Amino acid sequence: MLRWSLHRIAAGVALVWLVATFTFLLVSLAPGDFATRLTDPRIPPAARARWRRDFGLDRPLPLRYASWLGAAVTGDLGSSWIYKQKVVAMLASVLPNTLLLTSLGLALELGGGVALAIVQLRKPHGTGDRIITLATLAAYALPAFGVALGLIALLSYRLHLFPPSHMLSLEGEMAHGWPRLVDTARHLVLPVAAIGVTGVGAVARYLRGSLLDERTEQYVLAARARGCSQRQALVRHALPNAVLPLITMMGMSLPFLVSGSLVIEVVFSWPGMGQVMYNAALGRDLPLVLGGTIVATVAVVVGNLLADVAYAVADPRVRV
Amino acid sequence: MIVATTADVTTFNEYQSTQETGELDTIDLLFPALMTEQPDYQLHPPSFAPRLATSWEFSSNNRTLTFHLRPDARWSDGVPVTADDVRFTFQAQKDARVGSLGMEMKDFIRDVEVVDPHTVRFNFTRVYPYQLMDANDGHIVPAHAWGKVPFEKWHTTDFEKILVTGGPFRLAAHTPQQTIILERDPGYWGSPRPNLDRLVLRVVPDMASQLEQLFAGQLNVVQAVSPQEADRVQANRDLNLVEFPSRMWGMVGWNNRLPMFADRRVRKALSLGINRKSLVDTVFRGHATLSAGPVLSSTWAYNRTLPQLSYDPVQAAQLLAQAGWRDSNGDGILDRDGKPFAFDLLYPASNTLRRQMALLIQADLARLGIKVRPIQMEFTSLIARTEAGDFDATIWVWVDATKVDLTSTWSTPSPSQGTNNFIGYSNPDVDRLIAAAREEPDYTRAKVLLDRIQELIVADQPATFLYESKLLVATSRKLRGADFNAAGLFFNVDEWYWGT
Amino acid sequence: MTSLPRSPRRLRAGVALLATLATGALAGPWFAGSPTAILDPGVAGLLPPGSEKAVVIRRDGTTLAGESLRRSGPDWVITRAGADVTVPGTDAATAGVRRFWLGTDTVGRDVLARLVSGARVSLGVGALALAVALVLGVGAGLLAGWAGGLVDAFLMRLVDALLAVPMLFLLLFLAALFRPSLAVLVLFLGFSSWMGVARLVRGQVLSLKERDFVLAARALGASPWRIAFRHLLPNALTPLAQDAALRLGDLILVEASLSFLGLGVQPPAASWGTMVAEGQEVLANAWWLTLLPTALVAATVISAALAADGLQELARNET
Repeated sequence: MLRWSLHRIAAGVALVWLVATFTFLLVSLAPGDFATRLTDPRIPPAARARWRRDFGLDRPLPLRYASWLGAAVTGDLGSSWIYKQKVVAMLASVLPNTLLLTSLGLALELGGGVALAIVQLRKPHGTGDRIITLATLAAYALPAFGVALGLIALLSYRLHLFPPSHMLSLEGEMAHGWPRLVDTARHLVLPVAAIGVTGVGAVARYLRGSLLDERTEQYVLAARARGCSQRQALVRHALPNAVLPLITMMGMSLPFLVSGSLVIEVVFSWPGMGQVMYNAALGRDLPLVLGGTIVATVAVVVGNLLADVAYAVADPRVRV
Repeated sequence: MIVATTADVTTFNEYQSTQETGELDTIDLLFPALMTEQPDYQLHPPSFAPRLATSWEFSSNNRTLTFHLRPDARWSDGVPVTADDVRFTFQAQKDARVGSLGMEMKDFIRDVEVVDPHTVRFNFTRVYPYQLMDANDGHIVPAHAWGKVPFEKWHTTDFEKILVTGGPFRLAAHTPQQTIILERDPGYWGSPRPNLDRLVLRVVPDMASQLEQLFAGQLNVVQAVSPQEADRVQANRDLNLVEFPSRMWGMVGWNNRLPMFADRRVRKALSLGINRKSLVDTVFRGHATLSAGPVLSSTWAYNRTLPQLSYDPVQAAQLLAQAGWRDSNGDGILDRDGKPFAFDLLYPASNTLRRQMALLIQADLARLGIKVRPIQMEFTSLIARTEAGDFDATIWVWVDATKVDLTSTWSTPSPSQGTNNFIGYSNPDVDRLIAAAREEPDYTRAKVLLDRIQELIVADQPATFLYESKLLVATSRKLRGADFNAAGLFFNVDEWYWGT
Repeated sequence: MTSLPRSPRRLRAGVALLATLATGALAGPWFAGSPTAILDPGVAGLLPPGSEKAVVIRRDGTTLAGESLRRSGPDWVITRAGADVTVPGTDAATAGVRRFWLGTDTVGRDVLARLVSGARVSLGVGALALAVALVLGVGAGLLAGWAGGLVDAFLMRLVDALLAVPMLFLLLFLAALFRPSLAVLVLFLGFSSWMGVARLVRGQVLSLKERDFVLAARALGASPWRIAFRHLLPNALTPLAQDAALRLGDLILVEASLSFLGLGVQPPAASWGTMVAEGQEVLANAWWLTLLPTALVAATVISAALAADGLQELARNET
C-alpha cells in the first residue's frame, strides 16, 4: 500500500510537470501574446514592442521556459501580468469562492440524483419514474445559461426570493460575522441550484440504470429472499455496487470543482476561477494560466486517487 | 449610486494599466490631473479647464510651459500635492522600466522642473500643436507613497496595498471581481465637490444581466447598452437613455498587400457593392451613422466635403470588369487569371454586431459574384493575425484619441516605429502630408492638410468605411445633473445628484 | 422473466423519435426554404413565430419585405414601413405573402429553415463525434482495465493530462493550424471527449473482471479478446449507453464553442449549438431563437436516452 501510494504521488508530480510544460508550449504557440491586445490608436504602436521586451516575450522559448521552471520549482509562480498580484495570492483569493459554489453544486447533484433514482425505482416504469426521467433529461439538455437565467427570472425578479447575482449584497460586504454568512448563503442559492438542476439528471440516470441491473443480481435476490424489504435490499446491497460508475463521474468532476463554470460565474457575477482563468487565457497572462493549470492538474490527480480508493472500498473485488 | 461595469479594475496605478477595461474612468475619480480635457473638439482641438493647475502659460518661444498648482491640494493622507509629485509622475511616465503605455506622449518633453512647491515647469524639445495635451496626459501620482517602490518593480507591485489618492472620491472598499465602493473624500480640495456621498461600481460581466438588474432597480447606471436593447430601455418609465457620438468607428480592412485588393478600382467596387447605409441601419437600428473616411465626423479635423459613396452595384460591376474580374467559367463567381474572387472575412466571434455585418456583407458581395467566407475567431488570435498581416479582410474597429494623428494608422508601416496600419496601406503623398500635419502648430493650417489627406485616402479606399457608433448610457430616472459625453462616463460626476 | 416483450417500449419510443428527427433533417430541403437567405432585415428581422410578411425577391437577389403587397398593372407595389415601393414586374423574381411559422432571426432568416438545416449538421456532427469518442474511449478503457499495470498507468495518466490541460489553448492553437471544416470539427469534438468514456469503461472492467462469470471464462481458457468483447463489453454497456446518450447532447451544444473559435460550422451555415449561443445574445427580445433549438437538443437527448434505457432492458432480459 505504501509503495502504491509513493508510486501514485511520484506519478502525480510528473504529471503536473508534464501538463505545465505542455501548457507553457501551447500558450506560447497559440496566436497572440500579452502585448497583442495593445492595439489602439490611443496607444503608441511602439508600446507593443516595449511590453514584449519588458515581459521577456522577445526571448527564445527555451530560455523563457527555463526561467519559469527555475522559479516554479522553488514555489515562485510569479506575478499575474494582468492583475499585477502574485499568482499564488490571486488563486488563493478566487479558489475558495469557486470551491464553495461547485462543492455545494456537486453535493446537490449527487444528493438529488440518489434521491431521485431511489424514488424512481420504487416503481420502475411507473408514471413517477417516467415523469422524473423526462424532466431530468430535459434539464440536462438545457444550456447552463438558460437554466440560470430561468431561475433568476422566476425566483429573483418575479418572486423576489433570492438575489440575482454576486456573492454578497452591498450591505453584506460591509458586514461581519453572522449577517455576512447569511447574506452569502442567500446569494449561493440560485447558482448552486443552477449547477444542481443541470447535473442531477446525469446522476439519477446512471444510478437508476445500474440499480436496475443490480436488482437482478444474485446477492440482491438473495437478500430479498432472506426477507429484506425492497428498499433495504436496494439501499444496503445494490447501492454500494451501483455507485461505481458514479464514482468515476465524480472523480472526473474534480477539475470542475476547482476550475468552476465560466457560464455560471458570468451569469451570476461570481468571482471565481472560471472567469479569472478565462480572462487570463484571452489576455495570454502566462503566469496566471500556468498557476491555474497546476491547480487543476493537482485536482485531477487527487480526484483519481480518491476515485480509485473509493472503487476499492465500494467493491472489494477491485484491486487497485 | 450604483454603476455597472463589465470588469474589475486590474490596478489603481495608471502606469501599469493596459487601459482595456475602462479602468481609467475609475482612476480619474481617485487621482488628480493638471487639467481637465473638455469634450469640445467639434470645432477646434480640445480645450482644457483648470484642475490641479489653476493657470498655465507658455514662454515666448513656446518651449516652456509653466503650471501654477493649487496651494490647498492634499492627498487622501493629508500630505500636500506639490510640484514634486508632478515631477515624480513625469519621471515614472518617462521611465522605460515602468514602460507605461503613454510613454511616447512624453517624447518631446525634455524635463520637468520644480520652481517652487506650487509651480512646475515643462521644458519641450520642440514646438508642436499638442504640447498642452501631452503635458497633461496621465494622472498625478503620490511621490511620498509610491516613490518608495523602485521603478523596476512597478510592473509587479500591487499598488492597492499602498494606495494614496487625491481625487473627489477615495476608495472605501474593494472586493475583487465584485465591488468597488468609493466615498466622497471630505478633504477634497477641488470644486465643485461631489453631491453624492458614495459611488459604487458593481462588476456584472454579462451585459444582459446588467440591463435586467437596471430594470430591477439594483443598478442605476449601465454604460453601454447594445442597440438591440435600446427600445426596451426607452419604453421603461423609470429609466433614461442618453445617446451621444462615441469615438468608436468601424471599417472593413482590405489587406492592401494582396494582389486581390491591390487595385484601388477593386477596393472602390467593394465599397460601392456593399449596401453600407442599409447595413448600418439594420445592425445599429439607428444608433450609428455612416462613416465616410478615416477621421471621425464629430471632430474638428473632419473634412465636411468628403463624398459619401452610395450603394451602386452597377458601377461596382463595371469597375471590377475594368480591373479584369469576369466570370469566365460561368460558375457565378468572378475570376481573373484562373483564380476565383474569394476571400476570408475575419471578425471576433464574441461580437454579435460584427457577425451581422459579416452576413450582410457576404450577401451583398455574393450578388457581384464575389465569394466571402466569414470566419469568426477568438479576439486575441484575430488581432495577432491582423498584426502579422496574415489575413484577407477583417471587420475592424478603432476607438480614436482626441489627438488627431493619422501616423500610426494610415502612414506606410515602418518596421522600426511599429504600426497600427495592419492593412498595409501605402501612399507616399499621404505619408508626406501626415508628417506635415503632425508638426503644424497652427490647427487651422493643419486642417487644410488633414482635409487633403482625407480626400486622398477616401479616393484610395484602402478600407471600406462603415460606421461611427453612438454610445447609449441607460440610467435610473432619479439620476439628475449628469452630462454624458465621449470624454468619459464620470466627466461631471461632481454635479450628479439624486432627484425624486 | 420470459414474459417481457422483445423490444421494450422505451427502445421503440426512442428510436422512433430519433428517426423522426433524422427524417426531418434529411427531408428539410424539400419543405423548408433557404436557411441562409437574408430577407430585408429592417422589416423582416426578429419576427415572432407565426408572423406573416409580404416578400418580393428581385432578380438581382435583393429582397423587400413589407406589410402588404398588391399588383398595379405589370408591377408589384409593396408597403414597406408605411411607404409604398414599386417593383417593376420584370424586376421581380418572386412575389407573395409568406408566413414564418417559427419566426426569423436578427437578419431576417427563416428560423424553421435554419433549424431543419442545422439538424443535419448537429445530428450528423454529434453522432460522428460520439462515434469517435466511443471508439477511442472504449478501446482505451478496455485496454487499461484488462491489461492493468503499466499500460493502465500510462493510459490513465494520459487521460488525466488531457483533462487538466486548458482546452481553450489547445483549441486556439489548433484553430491557428486548420481551416474550419466539418471533418476537423468532428475529430476535435471526438478527441476532446473520449476521456470520460475511457474512465467509465475501465472502472466497469475493473469491477467485472473479478466477477464469477469472467473468472470462469478465464479458467476455461478463453482468449482476452473473446472475454473483452463477449463478456466485459456487454456488461459495461449499461452505463456506457447512458453515457453516450447524454454525451450526444453535450457534443451538440459544445459544437457552438468550437465554431466560435473558428474551428467548426461558420456563418452563414446553421447548427443548433450556434443557434442557441447566438440566440442568447437577444434572449430578452426573441425567446424563440434560443428556445426552439434548445427544445430540439432536449428532444434528441431524451430520445437517445430512452433508446439507451430500452437497450439496457433488452440486455438485462437476455442475461
